[in-house]
Amino acid sequence: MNFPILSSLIILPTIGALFLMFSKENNTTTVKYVALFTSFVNFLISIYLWVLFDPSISIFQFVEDREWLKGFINYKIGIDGISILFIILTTFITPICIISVNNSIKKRLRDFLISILIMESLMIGVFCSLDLVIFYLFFEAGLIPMFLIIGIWGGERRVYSAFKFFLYTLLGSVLMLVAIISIYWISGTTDIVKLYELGIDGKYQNLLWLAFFSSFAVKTPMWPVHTWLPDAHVEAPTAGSVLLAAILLKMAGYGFIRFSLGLFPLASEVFTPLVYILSLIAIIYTSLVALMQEDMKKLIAYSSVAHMGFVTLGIFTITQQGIEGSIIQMISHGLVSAALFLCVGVVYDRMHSRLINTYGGLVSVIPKYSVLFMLFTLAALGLPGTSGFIGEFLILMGAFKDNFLVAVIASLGVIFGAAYMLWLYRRVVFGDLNNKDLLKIPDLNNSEKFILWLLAIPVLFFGFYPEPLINTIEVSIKDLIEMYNFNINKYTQEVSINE
Amino acid sequence: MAFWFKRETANAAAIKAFVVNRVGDFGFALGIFLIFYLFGTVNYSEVFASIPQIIDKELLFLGIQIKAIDLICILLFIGAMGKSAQIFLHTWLPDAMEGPTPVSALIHAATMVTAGVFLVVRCSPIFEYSPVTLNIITVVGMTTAFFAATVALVQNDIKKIIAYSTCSQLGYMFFAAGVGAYNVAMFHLFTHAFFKALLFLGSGSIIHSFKDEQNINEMGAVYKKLPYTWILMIIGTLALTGFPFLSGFYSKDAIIEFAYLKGSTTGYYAAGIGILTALFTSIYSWRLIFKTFHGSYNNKKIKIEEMHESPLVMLVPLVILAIGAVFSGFLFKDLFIGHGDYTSFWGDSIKFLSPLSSEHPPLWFLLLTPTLVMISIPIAYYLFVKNKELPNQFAQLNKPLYNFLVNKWYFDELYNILFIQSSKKIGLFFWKSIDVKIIDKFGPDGISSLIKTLSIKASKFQSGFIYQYAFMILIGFSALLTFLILK
Repeated sequence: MNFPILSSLIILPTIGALFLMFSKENNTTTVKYVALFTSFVNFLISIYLWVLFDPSISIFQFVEDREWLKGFINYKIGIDGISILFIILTTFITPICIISVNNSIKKRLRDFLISILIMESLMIGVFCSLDLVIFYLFFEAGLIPMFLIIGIWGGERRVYSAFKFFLYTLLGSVLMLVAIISIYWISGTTDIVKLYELGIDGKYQNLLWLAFFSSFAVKTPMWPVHTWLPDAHVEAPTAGSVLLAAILLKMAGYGFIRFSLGLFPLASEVFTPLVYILSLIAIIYTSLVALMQEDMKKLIAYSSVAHMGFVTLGIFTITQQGIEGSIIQMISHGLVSAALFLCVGVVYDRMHSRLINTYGGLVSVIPKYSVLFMLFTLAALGLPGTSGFIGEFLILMGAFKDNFLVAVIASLGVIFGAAYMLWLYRRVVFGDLNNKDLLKIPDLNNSEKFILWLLAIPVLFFGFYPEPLINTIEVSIKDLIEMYNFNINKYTQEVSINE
Repeated sequence: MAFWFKRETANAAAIKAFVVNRVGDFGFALGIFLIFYLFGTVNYSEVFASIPQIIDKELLFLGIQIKAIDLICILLFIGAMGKSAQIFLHTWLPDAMEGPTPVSALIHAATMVTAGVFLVVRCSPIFEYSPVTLNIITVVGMTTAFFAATVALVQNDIKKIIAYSTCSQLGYMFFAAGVGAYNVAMFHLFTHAFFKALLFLGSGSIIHSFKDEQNINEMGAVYKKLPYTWILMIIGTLALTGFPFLSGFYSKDAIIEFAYLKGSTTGYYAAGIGILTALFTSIYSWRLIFKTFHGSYNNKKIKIEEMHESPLVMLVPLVILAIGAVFSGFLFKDLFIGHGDYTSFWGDSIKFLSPLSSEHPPLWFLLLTPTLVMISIPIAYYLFVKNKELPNQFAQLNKPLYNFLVNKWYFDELYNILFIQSSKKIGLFFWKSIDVKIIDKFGPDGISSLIKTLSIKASKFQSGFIYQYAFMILIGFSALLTFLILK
């Protein structure tokens, strides 16, 4: 085994957080630079990881396997094409969050940054765990820093939102924990690679799938367990919203691919209609709800639910296009929703209002902001030439292959998406400048400009040239689908022999 | 379109254009998905090559048994309808005139809006195998041509008139493609680009001279003040209406002729509607000219002495376009639609399943359209300069019809009720009633308050008074005893 690169990715932000714990609280500049430096180094390591990564094979790479609870659970981590992009997304978004705190976090900056760094460690851990128990630990531990971020640095109703967020997600996850324990008793291991080979007995799959689903559905979030998200976003500070939208929501999408499809193919086949229906409801329903929002953050939060509806839809088409599209959509949504929340943050820092009707006519006061906001608006509604388009298009293509009706209904969501995003932009940026307070606000400062452009570049780049993303995930997805179909066939053959 | 971002109407038009086009894209994307589903590729040459293999294939689509090829074509055509503003998806184009006039000339007259026509012609190897869709295209095309022309007759905004005229001409292009004369559709697309861009930029010159006035009732009698614009606008109008030997004459008359030669019922209908629409086109175009340049001067804000011709930088492009508007038809007609030798120009790029008819329609038919077009000039002059009361009286007498046309057949109002208001209402209902009143009330909030109530009740037992505990013990003990004895 070579240098444990994945473990160092996981541990490095925590080390940074430890440094922060021992630094002086009121020395905000040092604190910020330590955090920024740590997360930036982590980003460089993850890029190096991408360079080293071999996309032509689908087995797990950079695997580390250490005994943790003797003879019971191993600390096993590794990555394949599906997980690496999420790791890079995490390491890319975290420094951006840290830069963004400049204007928004006024109290206990050090503690805030510690939360963010620990969050980064845990999220990277989620995406490279190869053991169910390890996965569960990372997955659940991530709740704590997020709970604190909302509960301490949030807005007026922060406590309500923080508890809603925590209880909602915990409730789902408890069932997942039960499922993990029963998997251990059924198969004798919680090692994902071994479980992939062994397969899980068909008669248990449905229940186990539902238990995992209850956790992932809340985290995604899927209709009807989505109501925590708008509240959490509205109350969370900008950086918290960014982390939540960009990465936390993606853990569930990743979980669906890795566990629901990978471990329970038979159950996935059974429950596909359920996922389709919930996804379609999410797409249409939340798009319509988003249309009527008066609060910018709430609007974007509801649009996230609709976008994640596309993701879950794409995953359960079990087609190459659908799953590729879902992953690209998740990456794209990670970048775009992060940028949109930052955009809201920019005007919130200046006006302390998230209400749409506070604004209007911004383009004549802060033109640079308006340009970037427009770019991300267009990316959010999936304009060709932005990453949003690639994901949505592939998902719909995959859906069409599987079921015409589903594809037709989901495509309707694309129309609503254009409506609510453009209407938001129009009301905030165009029109007459009626609120005189807006006249005084300054345009983007350097750090805001820097982070927004940093997000804009990949959005455009992958919009025109998604090849690097597709190359990375292609083989892993192909293999996953093969394994899925193989298991389904094996089972149907067994059934026919028994009869 | 939202260039004048302070104008509410401009912003609304921008969103409307985007969303209506999204509706078209919805069909277009599904068409692409279906092609990918059937052929595993979306490459033109590969798809075109394998079309003949699936002609008889049938699909079950949303519960309807339909031929795959028909479905592909209908879905692709929905995309074309959105982009080329055909009836039902046309509402965005007139509103798009909120944008700057050069944009209108380039995007909404000459280039972008014709992309739908281009799509149909480009995919002629697919459409040729779907007679059903071709008939639909013909009907939609001629309906649009007629509808837009009737609306243009009564509009007062100079750019809106030209916009509806564009809509109408696009209808012509579609029904040309629908009757199989793809090359004629392309020819009309080509000539139309010249004269319609000319008319738009010319109207821009007029609007500029009138200091941003767009209502033709506020103009008039300025042909001496704006001589170049006047002449150039007349050239554009002559070309548009199909006055003999100008570009529109060759392309538009060819469309009507080919529709007639098609020989089918839809073909005859299309030809008839085409001729009627040509008459309307001529009347509304001359109405525009007479109301802006002739008659009496009606603008109250600017004195007529202050009127002046636009600068050279605005006139030179008009001259260049005018040259195209005059000569492009005559010069290129053999290349595009010359009898027999059009295939040498188009090669394999357009597929004709059966070659176009090389017959000639009867002479009376050939003369009909140009005659109507020429007669309509004096009629329009009489109606809009000499006896201006007559059209007003006619409008007064037929108030419902007039309102129907002025309000553009009430499409906007209908869509507003059907789609916009209802979407908003449903959205509000989902949010306020389902999210808040059901999911949250019975979900997280409900459960947490339930637990709270229960725990308050439970905590009442921990009162701290010994006698209460002793009483509870007594009750428990006697209950247990009773149970054991009775057992």
